[in-house]
Amino acid sequence: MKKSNRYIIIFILLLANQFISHSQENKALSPRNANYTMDVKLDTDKKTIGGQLQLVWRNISPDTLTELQFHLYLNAFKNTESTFMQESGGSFRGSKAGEDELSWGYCDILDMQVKDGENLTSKIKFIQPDNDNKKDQTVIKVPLSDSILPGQTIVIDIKFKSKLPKIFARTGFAGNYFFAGQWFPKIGVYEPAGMRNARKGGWNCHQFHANSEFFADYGVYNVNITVPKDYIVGAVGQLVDEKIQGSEKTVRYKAEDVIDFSWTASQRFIELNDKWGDVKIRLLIQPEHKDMADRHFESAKIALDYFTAHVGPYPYPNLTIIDPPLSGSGSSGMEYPTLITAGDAPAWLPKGIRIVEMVTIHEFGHQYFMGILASNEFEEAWMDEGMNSYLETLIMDAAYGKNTSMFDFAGLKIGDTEMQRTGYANSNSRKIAESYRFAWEYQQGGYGMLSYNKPATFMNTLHRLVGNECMDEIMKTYYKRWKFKHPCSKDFISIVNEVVAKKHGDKFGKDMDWFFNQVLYSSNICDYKLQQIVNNKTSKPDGLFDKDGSKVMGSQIESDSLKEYESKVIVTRIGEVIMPVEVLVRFEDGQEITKTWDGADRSFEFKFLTNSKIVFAQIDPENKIQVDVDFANNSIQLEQNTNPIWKYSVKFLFWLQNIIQTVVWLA
Amino acid sequence: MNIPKAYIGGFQKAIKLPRMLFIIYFANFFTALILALTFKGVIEESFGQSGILSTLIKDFDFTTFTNLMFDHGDAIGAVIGGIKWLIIAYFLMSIFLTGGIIETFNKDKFTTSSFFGGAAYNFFRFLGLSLVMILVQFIFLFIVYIPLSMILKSVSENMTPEVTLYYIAISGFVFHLLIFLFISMIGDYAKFYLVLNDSFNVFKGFWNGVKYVFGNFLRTYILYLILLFLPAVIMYLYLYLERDIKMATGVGILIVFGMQQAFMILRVFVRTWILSSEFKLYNADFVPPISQQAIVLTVIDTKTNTEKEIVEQPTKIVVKEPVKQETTKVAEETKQEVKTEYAIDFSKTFTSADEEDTSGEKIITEEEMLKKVNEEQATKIEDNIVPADKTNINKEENIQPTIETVQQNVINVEDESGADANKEAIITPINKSVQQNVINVEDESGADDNEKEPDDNANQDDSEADDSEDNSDADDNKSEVVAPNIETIQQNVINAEDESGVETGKDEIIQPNIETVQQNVINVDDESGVDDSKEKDKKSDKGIIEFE
Repeated sequence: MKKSNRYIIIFILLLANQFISHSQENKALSPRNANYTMDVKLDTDKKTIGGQLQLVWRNISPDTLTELQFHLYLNAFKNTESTFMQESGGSFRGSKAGEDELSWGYCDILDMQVKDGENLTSKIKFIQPDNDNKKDQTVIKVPLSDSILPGQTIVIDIKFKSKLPKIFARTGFAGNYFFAGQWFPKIGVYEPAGMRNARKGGWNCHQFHANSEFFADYGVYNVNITVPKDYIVGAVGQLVDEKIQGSEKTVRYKAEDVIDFSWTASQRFIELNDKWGDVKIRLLIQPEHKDMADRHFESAKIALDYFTAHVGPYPYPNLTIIDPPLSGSGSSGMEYPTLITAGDAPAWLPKGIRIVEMVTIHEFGHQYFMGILASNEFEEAWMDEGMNSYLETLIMDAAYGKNTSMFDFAGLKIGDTEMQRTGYANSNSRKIAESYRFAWEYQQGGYGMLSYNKPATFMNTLHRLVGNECMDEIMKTYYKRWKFKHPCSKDFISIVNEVVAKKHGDKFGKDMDWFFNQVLYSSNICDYKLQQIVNNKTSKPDGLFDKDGSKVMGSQIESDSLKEYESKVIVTRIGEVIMPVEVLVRFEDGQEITKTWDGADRSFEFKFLTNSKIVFAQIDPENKIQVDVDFANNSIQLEQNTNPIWKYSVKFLFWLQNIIQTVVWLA
Repeated sequence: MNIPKAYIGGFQKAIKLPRMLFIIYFANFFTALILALTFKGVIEESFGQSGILSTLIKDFDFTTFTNLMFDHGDAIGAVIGGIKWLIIAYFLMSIFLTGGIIETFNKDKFTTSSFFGGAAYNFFRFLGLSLVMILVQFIFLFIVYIPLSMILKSVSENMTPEVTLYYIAISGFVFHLLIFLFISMIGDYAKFYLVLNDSFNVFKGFWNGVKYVFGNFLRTYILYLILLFLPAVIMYLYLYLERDIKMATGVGILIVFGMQQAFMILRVFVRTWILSSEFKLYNADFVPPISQQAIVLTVIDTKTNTEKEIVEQPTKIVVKEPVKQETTKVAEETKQEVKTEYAIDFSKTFTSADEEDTSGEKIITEEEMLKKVNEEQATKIEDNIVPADKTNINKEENIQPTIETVQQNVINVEDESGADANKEAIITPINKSVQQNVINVEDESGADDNEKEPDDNANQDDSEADDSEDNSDADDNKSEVVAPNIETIQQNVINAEDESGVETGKDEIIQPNIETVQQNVINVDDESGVDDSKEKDKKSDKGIIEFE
């Protein structure tokens, strides 16, 4: 081979290699318009994270921008005057804030400068886009001297210091356990007119509220984290490199196409690994919880199976599950891209109590609902929490039994779907607001019920109305069309309309807007009642009738068509919500008939002429209408079987006897 | 008594009291039934004709349950809220019943009338005791939980492995449970004390319970815990069996109901068993107050050198209130002189009823004793009774043997000749439960007036035989032991004439325990013919037995 040819071959190989590497790195799943490179160090004594970050931000909007806005989430824990603290009353998820100086948290920007450009530090200004709490410091705006043109990229270097609070609202420290969430200056999302619900261009950068989560653009994160060398670190993305220098070690994590970056460090973690296909699952677990490891792995795999089959493929190469200690339980049950924190469950938790499984499945579900389908958690919480809770119920019930998926212990059996439903249906505040509203605007503790329980319930209703196949297609279409983007409610509804029409024609009307208008955009409730069963004996016709050329009395007429009973079932609509319902009618001879009703009128009668009395009737016998808030009034049984009453009365008597007999110890 | 013996003895006693057990069981059943029927009515009303009811027949249905609670929570809540009133009502009823149970143990037999009589009699003192126990329970609750919560808070805020938290929490819980049970157990022994001593001082009762339990810690606590273990085993057994029986049909419901009630009867039995075993244990160690002990008077005729015994059974003498004050006053006045100088050895003076059969002593009633005394008075026994120090014989003596305290009270009696042979009737306590008072008296006439009298007590018991579950192996006379009231002071005054002329007619008052002031007064008429009859009559009204 000629020397020149050798050079050509080497050149081609190098070029190919470069192309392959380049294409691998640039095989972007998302817009990657907010990319961070960070170099930070954890001070385990002062509970601080100090360092610098470089933000590479690209303007993907058609607008020219003159300012940037950033979240400084940790300032929510700076003092009692923050909006978060004002709204939460200083306690969150069982944690209480601010017992000593060390327990407060903050994020200070020490220096901010456009790369090779102006220093922005002095221009930083706290703003409060959501309310007039001037003391809230969770959002800043930074005016720019030089505008950022559409498609242009700006590089900003920021030196910052974050002080972690004592574990509070997902982040902080507990002893030698550190969880860094929402810990660095993070740029907001610029929404041009037409994007989601924006009527005009502007930054979507909300303050940190007690009842709200987050919203961010996709990007690539390269983060160097320095910790004492005996600390085990877990973080969003994959471990790329680890170097030990003296008493410290520096780990480098890289995460692509993610909306956030969090990490954790502790001396006590035990690391366990497993795999699901090509996806590596890493579990960092407390030593005392080691026996629970299989439950975490198993449930994560169940979730991966289900989501992949019914929604879309899991796009990341790994998943890290963090098991916080009891003292750090304030950071449990939280989701970040490729990293979730599990439910804080004691090692002795019986297998029949499936809190571990539920939390792992739920948090994994967030990989999709707002991790991949990055809806705005501030503004449309139902799209992540509600939809994810709905998927959670499907997975839990499929894996662990319809009525036993949450609890199957000591005779107590509770399914996840019914638990979500009762959380809404049996809530006294079920009518206080619609599910569609800004998360921090839910009143009277309605956030959980209206963003988790009710959406999960109406999504289950939708599912049962349109069927499994149709629902699968809805979810898959939603995933395919909106992955790594920022969908909003109307985007999802338009997909529902599209797919339902395709599958069912006009069975449910011209579209499904009627459904979402009632359950999502309204606080109305759905309640149908089986009002009455009437069985009247028919009477023979009276008077004179012509028969064989003569007049005979009606009583003398023999007719096979004459039925013994004229029966009717009366159903009423108590709630405002209108749903198509089915009514099952059972006769004394065992015959069953199912009738349908559009559910629109306030009352409706089903009439029957039969030789057998109606003994039982039930609205919605398959419980499709999960949003019906009262199942007890959906049916009537004329001859009541009193065995259940005796059964529970006898049980009640027995336990009562035991309770009072126990009092004897004091007598 | 060791644990197995108490355990077995308690079982044997409890098992032989089926009528009592069923009274307690039915009290429990009907009390609970009141609310259970209300509950049944509420759920019947709540469900009405709803078909959702059928979802409950197979198993617990969360949706139906929560639906019911949401729709009819107020009515069901009222029923649930009623539980606290039921607990209070049954708490009072349990106090009442416990009084009957202990009374039955005390009498060693069951009669409906004595059960309820005892229950009523003991009710208020047991109520007071229960309130004291609850107070103590609360105090210990704070003692345990305040530091425990502080420790937990401190530990949980640091990076201590949570398993440590569980250990601390569980340890705290177990510790408190043990204390709770310990206090409950003390309450049992306190009740025994109150009944056996016929005391109404609940604080003292509780304190004596504490003393007894601490004095017999291993025996009492182990016995208690062993017996407590049984209900847990039974409950596990019940739950195990119930799990496999579906209450889907009427027959299934009936079977489970039968199991439940059998379990409740077992629980009631175990509670009775515990009490019975504890009572056995306590009773074995119990030294009855003197008022409940037979008094054996050994009379020695120094001339014939013959010995006679007079046994006085516990009496039912109830002295009116003023007497108590008067006697107490007398006791107070003479308190200073209750010293060993008048050493009567009670080991030979008193004997418990239990010992009667073995000693072969003849038991006479107080009435007979009085009769006998009068007869003896007529015979004019000449006694030379000289105090040990030969000086203070005329003084009224107050001697206070307590149950735990063994006192040797010696009465030195000089005979007419001045010989010293029988001077000292030294009576050494045999044990705490058998005491004898022996008084040596020189009978000048040598006549034997101390024939043993027939025992009428057994006959009295027989009259109740048709209405009783008498499981006693012990002497029926025990049932005649009447515990003295706190306020009851019995004066047993023995007047004797001192033939020598030395005036010894002053009373010797014997106060057997702190609550009970008994005066065993020995009036000794000297030959000078000093007439003490007025005083005798006066004292007789107050239940004073006089010897001349």
